[in-house]
Amino acid sequence: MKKKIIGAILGVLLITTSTIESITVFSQEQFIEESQQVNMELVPTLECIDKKTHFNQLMKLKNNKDDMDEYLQNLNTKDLLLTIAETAEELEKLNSTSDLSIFNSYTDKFINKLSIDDYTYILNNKEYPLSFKCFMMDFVNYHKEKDKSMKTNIKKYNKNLRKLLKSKDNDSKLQVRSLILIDDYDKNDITMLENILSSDDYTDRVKGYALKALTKIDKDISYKKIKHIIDNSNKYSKFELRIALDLLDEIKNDSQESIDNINEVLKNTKDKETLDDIIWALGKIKHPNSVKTIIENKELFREQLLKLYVNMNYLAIDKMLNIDNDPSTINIALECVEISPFKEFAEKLEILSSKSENKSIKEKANELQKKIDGYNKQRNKHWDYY
Amino acid sequence: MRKPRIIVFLSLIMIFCLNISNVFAYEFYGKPIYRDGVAVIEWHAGLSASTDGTTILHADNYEDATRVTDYDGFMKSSSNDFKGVYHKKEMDIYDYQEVVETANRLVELKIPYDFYNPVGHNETSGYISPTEITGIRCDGFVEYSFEWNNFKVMKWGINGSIWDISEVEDNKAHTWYNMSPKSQAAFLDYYASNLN
Repeated sequence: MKKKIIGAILGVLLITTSTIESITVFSQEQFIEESQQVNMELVPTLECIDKKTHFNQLMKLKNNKDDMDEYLQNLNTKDLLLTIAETAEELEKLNSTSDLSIFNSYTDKFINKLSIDDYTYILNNKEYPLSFKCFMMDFVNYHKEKDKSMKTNIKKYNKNLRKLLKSKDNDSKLQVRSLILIDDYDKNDITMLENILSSDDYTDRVKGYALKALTKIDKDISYKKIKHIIDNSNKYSKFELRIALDLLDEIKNDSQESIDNINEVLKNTKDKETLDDIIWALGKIKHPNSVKTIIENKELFREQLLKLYVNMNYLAIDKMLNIDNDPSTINIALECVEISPFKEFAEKLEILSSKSENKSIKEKANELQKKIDGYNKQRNKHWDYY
Repeated sequence: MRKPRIIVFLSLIMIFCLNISNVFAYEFYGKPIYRDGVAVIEWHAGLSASTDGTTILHADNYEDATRVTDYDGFMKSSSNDFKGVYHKKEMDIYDYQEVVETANRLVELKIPYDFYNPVGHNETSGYISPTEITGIRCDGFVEYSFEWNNFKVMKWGINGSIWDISEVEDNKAHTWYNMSPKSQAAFLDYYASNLN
């Protein structure tokens, strides 16, 4: 009887073990089948990464740049890939993963040797160091236009980036990078992006970049989301609100509607960071009414950002200084000149001080002309493109 | 006759002292700083956002690469050496304020690290505004903060005509093989050996 019971237990154990093995084998095979042409000879094994053979060698050579260079130059594709993976794991412990860029000079070796399937395998392997995956993502992004094989298969690679995004348990670093690197967004991505935006499983960084991606595809849907964020700003993170405010000018042709939205946030916040975001958002609109909003609320904003705002909106402010404008518009513009008395305002001030029939405008313009001479700064034309 | 001379003399001393204190008040504000220890042979770049160099803006590691840190956070390890404070002689406090505000915005936008592109983007022409940057490196962070405001750092071509990392065409010259924090520092003027 005892023998029978032991036999039965062993039998069950055997079946269970073989089932687990078959499941494991199945899932690996299934993955490889999906990827089809992964060159398992090239991609690093976890056992090899753990040994740190190449990393230890690099550490011995670390004080001699030439020796280190020679060592890395002489590595074949497989060993270079392994060296990067080993080093990534060690650098993660030191919180110094940006140092991986030292390998940039040698990674040309991967071109025409690694396929899109190999890169996909690396990104999907949950055991590989995260920074190794990020490094390889940036490598593909940098070379995709130059490498014919990559260019041809980039749609397949982008499909995998979407898979990485949909899988909620992936690290947010991979998800953010995927959102940035997908370069063929279309209408079919709207549901995926909306799901990300409404889910609690994604970080605010991921959601912010998802909102940016959504804006590229469908401005109307994106605007609904942005409007919801603005109307319910207390329910969203500062970062989500920042991105929403930042995207407003890209979505709405109607400047007044954007200004009204921003005013809504302005009424309900005293948060310093959000006030900065409001200046940046209004700075993009470049409309006299946005200038008015800023001047009417100037006590709320940091002096330095007010100066920057005048720089951003030089073209709008310059038009507001036209002598045939109504006095209230000219006065708002003169307040802007007082904040940042750029040389370029001098011409309009000269006209106002000599020809304006309004005494106070005339005097103010005259006073500001002197201020311009003292300030001696030119505006930054880069802001016209902001 | 003597009195007015003394008054003029004292006034001159006062003006001198005020100028000196003004210099010290903004000593390190907006100036690029560097340390070594990046893969042994390279440097790391940052930007001092305070007058005493205790608040530093830089791009480091991967997610939220653009960030604020303190001196220890910038140095990362006691085995790393501070390589100096740099500046551009012709720039004044107003100029540095613009640089710091641009850098501040890059920090607020929490831009990811990019291993290959000092300033990565998807634009095809014109300028790359802070919002349009897709990834950034530490040297790109400093370069962009200066050059968006028209203060040239690294230059190439005839008479240094290729310089603006925030302009799509010039950005192409700012490659990982053309620039590094160490080579960037060589384009700036040396200011001080430490932040004390």
